Amino acid sequence: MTLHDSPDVDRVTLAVLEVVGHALELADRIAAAVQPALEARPAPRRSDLTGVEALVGPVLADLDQPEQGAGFVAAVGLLEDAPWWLEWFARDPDGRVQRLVTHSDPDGIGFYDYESLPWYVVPRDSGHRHVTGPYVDYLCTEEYTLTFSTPVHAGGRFVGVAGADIAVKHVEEHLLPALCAAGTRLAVVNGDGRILSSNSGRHVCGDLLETDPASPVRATRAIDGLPLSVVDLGD
Amino acid sequence: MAVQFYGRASAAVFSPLESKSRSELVSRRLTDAIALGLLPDAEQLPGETDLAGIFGVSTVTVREALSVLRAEGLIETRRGRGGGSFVRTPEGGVVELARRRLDGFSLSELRDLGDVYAAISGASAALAARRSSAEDLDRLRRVADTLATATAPDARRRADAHFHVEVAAAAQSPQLYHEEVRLQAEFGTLLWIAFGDDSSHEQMVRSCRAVVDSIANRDPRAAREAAEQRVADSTARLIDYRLNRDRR
Repeated sequence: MTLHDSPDVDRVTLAVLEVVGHALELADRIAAAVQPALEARPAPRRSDLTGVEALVGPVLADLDQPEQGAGFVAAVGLLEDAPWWLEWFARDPDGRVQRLVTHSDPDGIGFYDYESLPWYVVPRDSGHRHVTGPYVDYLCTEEYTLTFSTPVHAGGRFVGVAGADIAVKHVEEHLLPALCAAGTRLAVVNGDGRILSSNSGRHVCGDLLETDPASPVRATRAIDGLPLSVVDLGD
Repeated sequence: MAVQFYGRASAAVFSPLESKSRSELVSRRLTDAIALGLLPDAEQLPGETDLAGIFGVSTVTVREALSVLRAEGLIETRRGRGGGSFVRTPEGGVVELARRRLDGFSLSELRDLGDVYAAISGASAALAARRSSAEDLDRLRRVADTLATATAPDARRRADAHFHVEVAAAAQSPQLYHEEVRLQAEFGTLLWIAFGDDSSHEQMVRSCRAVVDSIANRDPRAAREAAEQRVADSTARLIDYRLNRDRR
C-alpha cells in the first residue's frame, strides 16, 4: 500500500534526502578523485590514493559537517602493495582527523576483513549506492553508525567503494523536526525494515518493523534511488 | 570530614566515582591487553606522554602503572636511542598470565563476575532475537561455524569472543557491545583458562548453536536463557578448575 501525498511525508522525505544527499555527495567526490588516478595505472599502489586525504580532511575537520568518517576502500586484490586496503579517515572524539589504521595481513589479529560487509558487498554486487545501518560499527569507530557507500569503476572494472559515515544520533537530530511536526506516527526504515528514526516511543531506532503476516499492512512511500522508505505506523 | 547521611538511595550518589586508583586502572587495562594477546610479545608501547594522552591521565599516573607492570615482568624498559617500554609475555604465554590473575579472585568474586556476564550476554541475545535481520543471522551462523571448525585453542578463543561481539552488535546496542568487550577483557580471559580442550569445545559449539537457533526463531526468552546458560556453564567450569588447583 503506498503512502499518498501528504505534506508531512514530503517534509520527512526531504529531511532524509538532505542528510543522505550530503554523505553521498561526499562519496561521489571521493570516487571522482580516485577514478582518474586508478584509470591511469594498470597496477595501482597505495600511493595512488593520496588524493583522498586532501579531499576528506577539511570536511572531517569542519565540525559543522555531519560526516565523521570518509574515504575509499580498495577492491580486494586491486592494489599491488596491499591486497586489502582502506584509505579511510575519521574524526576522533577530540575532533581531530585520524587515518584509520587497519592490518592488511589476513593472519594478523587486527585484520579487517571487509569482503563480507554490506557497505562493501552491496554496491559491488548491485552497482548501486547503498545505505548500511543503523549498526554498531565494532570493527572501526565503535559507534552507532550509518554508512553511505557508492561503487567506483575505473577502466570498466570495479575498483572499490567510496563512502562516508554519519553517526545515528546526528541523523536523528536532522530528521526529528520533520517527524515531530507530522500529525501521524511515521518512521523512516531501511531495506531490512529496520527503523532509522520515528516519532513513536513504541518503534524506536534499531527495531525491526514487524514482519509478522498477521500485523496490519502499513502504508509506505519509497524514497527515490535509495533503500529507504517512510512508513505510516498507523497507531 | 563528617559525612551527611542522605538516606539509602542517595548513598549511591555520594559514593566514590571509581573505587580503583587511576594508575591501577591503567595497569589493569594494559595487563588485560597483554593477556588477550592484543599487545603481542616484544611490541613497543607508546611513550609515557602519549599514553597519558590516550588514557586521559597524568604522566605521573602512567609512570606508576608502568612500574607495576615492570615489577610483574610484563614489560621491559630500555634506555637510550631505540629505547622505550616493550611487552614481555610471560613464559607459558597468556595462559600463565591469566592464571596469575585468577589467583587474585575469590570464588564468590568469580561467581559474581559470571552473574554480570550472564546478564549482559542474556540481554544481548534477547534483543538480538527481536532485532536481527537475515544478514545478521547469516553472520552469526558463519561465526558459529568458524568456532565449530577451529582446532587451535587460540583460534577457538578468538571465534568465541567474536561470537559474543556479533550477538551484542545484532542487538543494535553500542552500550551492550562496550560492556561485552569490557567483560571479555576482565572475565573472558579467565574463562578461557578452563577451556580449549575438545570436550569443552563441543559444549561451547552446542551452546553457540542454541543461541543462534533461538535468535533465528525470534524467541527472545529462549535466546536469553541459552546465552545465560552458556556463561553459567563456563563459570562453573572455571570455579571447578580453580578448586582443583587449590586441592593440589
